[in-house]
Amino acid sequence: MTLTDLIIVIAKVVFVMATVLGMIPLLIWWERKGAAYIQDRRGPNRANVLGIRLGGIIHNIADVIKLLFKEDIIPSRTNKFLFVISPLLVLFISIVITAVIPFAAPIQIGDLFIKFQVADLNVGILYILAISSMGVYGVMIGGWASRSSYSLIGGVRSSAQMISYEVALGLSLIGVLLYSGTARLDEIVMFQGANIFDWNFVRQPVAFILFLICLFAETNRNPFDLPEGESELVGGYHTEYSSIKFALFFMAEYVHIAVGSMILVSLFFGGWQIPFFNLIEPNLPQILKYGLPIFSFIAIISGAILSGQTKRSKWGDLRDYEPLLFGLLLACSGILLAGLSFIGLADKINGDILKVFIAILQIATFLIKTLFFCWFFIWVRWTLPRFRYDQLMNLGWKIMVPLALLNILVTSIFIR
Amino acid sequence: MTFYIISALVVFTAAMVILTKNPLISAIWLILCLIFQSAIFVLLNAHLVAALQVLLYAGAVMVLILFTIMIINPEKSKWKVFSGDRILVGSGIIYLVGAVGSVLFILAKGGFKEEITVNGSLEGVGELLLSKYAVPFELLSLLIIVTVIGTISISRRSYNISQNDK
Repeated sequence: MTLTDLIIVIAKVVFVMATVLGMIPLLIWWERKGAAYIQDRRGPNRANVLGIRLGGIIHNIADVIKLLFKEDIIPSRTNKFLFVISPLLVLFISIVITAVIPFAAPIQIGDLFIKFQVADLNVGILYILAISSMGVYGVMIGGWASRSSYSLIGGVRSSAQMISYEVALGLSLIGVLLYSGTARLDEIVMFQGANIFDWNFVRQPVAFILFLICLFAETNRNPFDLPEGESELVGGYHTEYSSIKFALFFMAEYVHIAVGSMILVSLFFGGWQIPFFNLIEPNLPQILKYGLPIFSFIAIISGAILSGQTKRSKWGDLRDYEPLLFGLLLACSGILLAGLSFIGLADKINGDILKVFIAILQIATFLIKTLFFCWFFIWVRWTLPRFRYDQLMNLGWKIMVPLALLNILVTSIFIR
Repeated sequence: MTFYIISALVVFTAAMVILTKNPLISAIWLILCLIFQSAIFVLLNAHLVAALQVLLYAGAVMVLILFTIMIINPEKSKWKVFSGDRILVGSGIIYLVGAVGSVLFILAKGGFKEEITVNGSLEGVGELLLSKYAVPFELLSLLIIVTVIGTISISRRSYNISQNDK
């Protein structure tokens, strides 16, 4: 392994980690704002730094400071090592899954062949299943090590739920495997093509719905959040955790959502495939040449309109100037783009630079799709009530598993 | 070198499984042991077996074992590291004799072959399973089905008895 390879690998790992961890504050903000607007409230809007609130994002900083400085209680007569290790384990395992997710198509620049995937494994899907099956230990061990009945019941419930839905999850994936003919995630994404109607959610609709439901169960989110059911178990497996250890559990939940959405997008929604890119690609330089001035024009106009919305007496504090600031930023970036297109930027994008540009577009597409499903998770959480335990088990074993088996049967009949 | 490090870890964790007093912690050592074993499979280029090892043994079977230990909660009873149980000692001796004997047998036949090329990828194993080893594979799945049905029938019977008692 040469130095260049090493640098590329490190860059990939840092990029993936930064993406996944960066989604945590965004998703927490979305969760709060989404919940608030679904319940006809305003959501977090008080915490501020020098009067800047950014619509509630600043509230995350207040949360972090609060959680860091709270008293860190470890219950007496517990196994301290297991108690401390379990939140770390939960977070670690949910991040490690991202190693096999392809973020963009592989590109060739000179001698360098770059794959936008940390580890290209022959058994990609099995790796995801294997690692996510380890995820239950963090919750179980945490629930057991807390020495509290609530935690223990939460941990046992969680493990029962996760192993029940893992069966349906694995079986629903077999349909996709049969259809794609490979277990490599990059090949599955490549196989789906740029046409939306060739993506697996059209070709494998039953597998898609089963996988989505199982993902909710695996992430312990509503309507499957029995492991932490507040009304019965206080907080479930993390009842005894406080301070930063609770924060790690909390963060792991959002990492789970982000990673689960990434897997879902890769398997069923074409991963990094830009919709109908096969039609766009031959004309990309022309589209860039004429699109850039149009885009900058739209940015300048909308920035100007946004700045015009400023009313000094609306709130009576710094929030009045938010439209002005964002409008000015938008207008300035529009002017910058116009200048760049004036000096002929669009003609200079070709060859290797064009390849990198397309890769960046693909990463952006992938992240937009992922964020949509993250929002879907939040949406469902604040819309549906929680299952009863027997309903959960009935759904898992008596409906999902037979449906998944039926899907395998039908797929294997029609595949050839 | 990697092999020696990993195998030392496997032996250490396996020893910790039987040297720990708390059954739950010894189960956690067993999970670690199984994960390190899958690392050995990765070294042999058998990625599929490695993934299945983690997925089935470390992920599924051990969850059930932990689950059972948690529900039974055997901490109240006293546990010794070494019990003088004759069955335990006897089975240990049989295992040791078997392991040493098989190594001696292989050495007597001419030692280990230098390199055995096995295609451990998903496609390779799948092809082997459905061509060369198709019959044993199907027989194994039959065996598993029989086991599952047996388990269900036994648990159903005890369920019915408890219903009749009421």
